[in-house]
Amino acid sequence: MSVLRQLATDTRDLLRARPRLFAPFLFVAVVAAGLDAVRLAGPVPATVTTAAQRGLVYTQLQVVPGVTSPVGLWPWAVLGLQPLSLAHLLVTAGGTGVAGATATALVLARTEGRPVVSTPLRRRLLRAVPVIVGFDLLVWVGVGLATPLVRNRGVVAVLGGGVVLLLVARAFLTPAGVVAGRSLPAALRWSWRWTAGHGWQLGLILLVVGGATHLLVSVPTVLSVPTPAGTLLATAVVGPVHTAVLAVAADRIGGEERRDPVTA
Amino acid sequence: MTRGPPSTRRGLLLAGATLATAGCSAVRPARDHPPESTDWPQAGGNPAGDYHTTAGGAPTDEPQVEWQADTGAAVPTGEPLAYDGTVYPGRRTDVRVDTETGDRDRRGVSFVTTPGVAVTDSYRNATLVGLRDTTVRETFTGGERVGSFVAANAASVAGGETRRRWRYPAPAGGMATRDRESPVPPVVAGDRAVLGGQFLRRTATGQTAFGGVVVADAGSGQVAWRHTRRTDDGGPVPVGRPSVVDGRVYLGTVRGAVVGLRLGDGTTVWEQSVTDGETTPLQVVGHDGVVCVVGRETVVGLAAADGTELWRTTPPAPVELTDRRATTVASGTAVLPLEAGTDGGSQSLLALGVDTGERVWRVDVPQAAGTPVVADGVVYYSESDAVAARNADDGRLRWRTAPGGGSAFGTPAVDETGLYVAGTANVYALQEGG
Repeated sequence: MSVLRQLATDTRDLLRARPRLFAPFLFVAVVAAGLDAVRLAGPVPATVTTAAQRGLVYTQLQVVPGVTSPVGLWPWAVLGLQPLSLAHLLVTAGGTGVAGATATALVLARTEGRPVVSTPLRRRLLRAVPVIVGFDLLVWVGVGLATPLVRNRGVVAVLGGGVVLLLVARAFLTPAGVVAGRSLPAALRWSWRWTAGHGWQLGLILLVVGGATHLLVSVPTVLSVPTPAGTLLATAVVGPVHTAVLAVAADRIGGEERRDPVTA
Repeated sequence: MTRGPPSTRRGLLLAGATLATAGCSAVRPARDHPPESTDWPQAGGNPAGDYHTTAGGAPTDEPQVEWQADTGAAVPTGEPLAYDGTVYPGRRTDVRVDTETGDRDRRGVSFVTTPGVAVTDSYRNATLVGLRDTTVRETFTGGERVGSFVAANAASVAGGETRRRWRYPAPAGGMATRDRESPVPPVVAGDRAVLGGQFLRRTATGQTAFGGVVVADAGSGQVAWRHTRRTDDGGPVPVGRPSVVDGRVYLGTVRGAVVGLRLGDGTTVWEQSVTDGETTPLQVVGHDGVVCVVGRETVVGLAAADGTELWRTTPPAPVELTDRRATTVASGTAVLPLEAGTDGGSQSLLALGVDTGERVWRVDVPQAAGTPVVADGVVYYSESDAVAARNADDGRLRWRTAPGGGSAFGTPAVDETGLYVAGTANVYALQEGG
């Protein structure tokens, strides 16, 4: 628990000392809320999933910080879409994903104690953002494949959920490694090595972050205000906090090896 | 990356896969044409729900059974729809039948009502919109079904539930549809889906019910507007099948009111109280400047423009409004199914002039079933054990036949290829013989 307390204290101190870290996520939250509004008014079917559907006690495992949106779609609704409608979906939904990854990478780069790589920021972002987006998709596919295990009740669910949570937690530091210049496999290995012994603490952080996200995107539904307000609220609040926790963990747990010795 | 529901990213993955495999017919189905006047793409035949078509495929003199196909349903499937060379036998069946050959497959979607076909700008192929129930509850007044309207990919690219495009109300979102006896089928008018009936809304203190209509984009399910009907004390007012004509939605209620709404934005154009009370929703059919309003004891003609009452008549026997039966309006004539009179007479069909309300003809029709259909000057209708045709202008019998030996036939549908009618377990195609 001392590790958790230390991470919480350091995260609070970091955000107090550098409130400008909120700025990228504030900007991205506005962009994402706008894209959600466009999406909801667009030609592609959309679903809105909040606490009204899933209940108050719910969490969604998410390794990569970024945009939080309650707007989704029935997956097979993609089939048969006209090219313009498909483009609309890719631009709006994909746009929020890229925007979220960009904000995450930017905040992580700015929280490195000193320039860990000499590459200009723009080039680092151009390299890191696609990798982060791809990594997020990979994690999501993995969690999705494991979901049937967790949906069962009883021992299998507890064990399955625990294993999934532990695996996801061990990948917690990966985005920071990517932004610091590592390749995705190298960042994964780095995260896996340095999170050893901290899996349950980091898993607890992911559960709390996922639960808070779920509740925040649901606030507009409860207050009967437009859905994109949930995107705005959750992204602006959870995004920077989640990223700050990640940055602090990368420094405290990842130690001197946050940067890749090869590229530094 | 987006951290919303899993479906967001799954959709993105599929979108990417769709782009990568765009040449595959399963991903990129053939472009469907919008329903034409000679199709029968929804219950009632068209948005007006007048059960009238200009299609000429139905037999006028010597019917013969061209094919019959097992619907695979445990109950009569009701009213078929015919669109783009395919017959969908109606409700509670996933069977589809080729209109030319009678070949069938089970790759349709099973709905509680006859679905409606929509072709929108969003998708290359058609969207089927229908009502599905998820829960059946017993109540003091009988069974009650709770569910939602579901739009599905009409192509057989994937089976069953996985073809869903949108759903209204959203699952577990605090709202649901409710139907008790005769659920209201969806009406598709262009790119709009007009969803009528009763709805339930969960509240902090329980749940409330309301009747009304919800108009949504048929491609995306995005709600354009809602019109709710409640009693003074907040109770629900069930409504009948909406009739959509010339940019207006006409709606009849159990409280004897008829309302004309603008299809574009839901603005109430006029509202008229027609009767003191009805136990089933008033039927309304818009036709050529007149809204024909049918209650059990009263039939009224209203001006479509402003709701002014043009005529009123009392039929010689109560109009049969239950069991999914409706009014047929074609070429200035309304054909109503009447119950057996109190004098012990038979059930009958009554034809009235739509402009005047005057009787044109009345014929006894023992054991009439379903709603009559008018095509090319002929009235086609079902009896419990036969299908028959009469002249629309004088009611004279043209033919009567019992395909398959006769079995609880329902409302027919007509396209350019034939007449389709569902029995207990089969759907039949009748064409001109000889």
